[in-house]
Amino acid sequence: MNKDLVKILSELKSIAPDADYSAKLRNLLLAEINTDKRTAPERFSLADVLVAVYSRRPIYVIAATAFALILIVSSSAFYTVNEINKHDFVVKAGEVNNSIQVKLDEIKYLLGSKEIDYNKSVIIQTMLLGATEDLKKASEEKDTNKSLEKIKSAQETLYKIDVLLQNK
Amino acid sequence: MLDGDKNLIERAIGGEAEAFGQLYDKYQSGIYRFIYLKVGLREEAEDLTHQVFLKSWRNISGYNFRGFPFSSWLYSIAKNQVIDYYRLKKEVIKLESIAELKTENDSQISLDKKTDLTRVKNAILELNDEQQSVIIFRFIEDFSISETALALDKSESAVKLLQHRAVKNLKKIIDE
Repeated sequence: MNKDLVKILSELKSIAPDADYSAKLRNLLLAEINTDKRTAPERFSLADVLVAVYSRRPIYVIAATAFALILIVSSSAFYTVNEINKHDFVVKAGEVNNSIQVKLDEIKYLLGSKEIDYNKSVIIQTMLLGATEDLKKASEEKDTNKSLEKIKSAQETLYKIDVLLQNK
Repeated sequence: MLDGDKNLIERAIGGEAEAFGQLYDKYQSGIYRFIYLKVGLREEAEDLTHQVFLKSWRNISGYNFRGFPFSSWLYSIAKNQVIDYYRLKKEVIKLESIAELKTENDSQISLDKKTDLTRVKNAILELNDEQQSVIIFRFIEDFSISETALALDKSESAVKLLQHRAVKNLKKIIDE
């Protein structure tokens, strides 16, 4: 390879963001992180949710179990299925796992306040099982794109559950 | 994985913002360079770099120590961010509109050298995504073949082949 080209390429290493802007962005980033931390709901473990559920209505046991399945299946799907695009999977896994955690927190809260009626809980249960099924298929799928489609579908289902929970 | 990194990552996962700030200090320049050489616009690169770190903070609990370095994980987020950027933009950025190259020691660089740097930088923009990445990792960020393979999710032999083609294309574009 042309030595001049290698030299010029290595000189591109001097490209850097504007120092002032960079410092401002750092402050902005830390401010956003702190805002995230303040607005994040208190985290509950799956065990907390199950204990709360058992003490109330049995229908929620199924819903919480489905959540547990989603957590287990999604973790294994993302980390073991596809070696080719594991970086993308890890990023995607984080997003989906966060969505699931948010839903768990919300269910826990709603159980406490008894704001979900029986019919809605059945619908949510069905949707959860659908999402679980999608994630299970994602874990079995060899094709990366098809796996991602299933993961996306599970994520969309979670968003729909979110809408249902918000319109309680 | 450096022990220092591991410690910072664990603290960041535990919610310590300053630990994440230190990771930002360490990797921000490289990520910015990677993005800038792919989008060619300073302001856009700064915004996208910010988005990459915000996204990595929100997903840091999903980072797995085993397997690949933290930097590779960040670069994969940056790569996806650039893909999303072009997907949303849906228009080709004309080379004429690309901001003039600005470097850390801008005032000390001669006009000839600056012209060379700008020519090479613009040529990089004309490569495809994978060829851009391999040039950036191997010749600008000084990644080894194995580090590049990890960052690109490719085998080492695939990286060598990709590098050969990328260099060939880059020289061709520059000579045109």
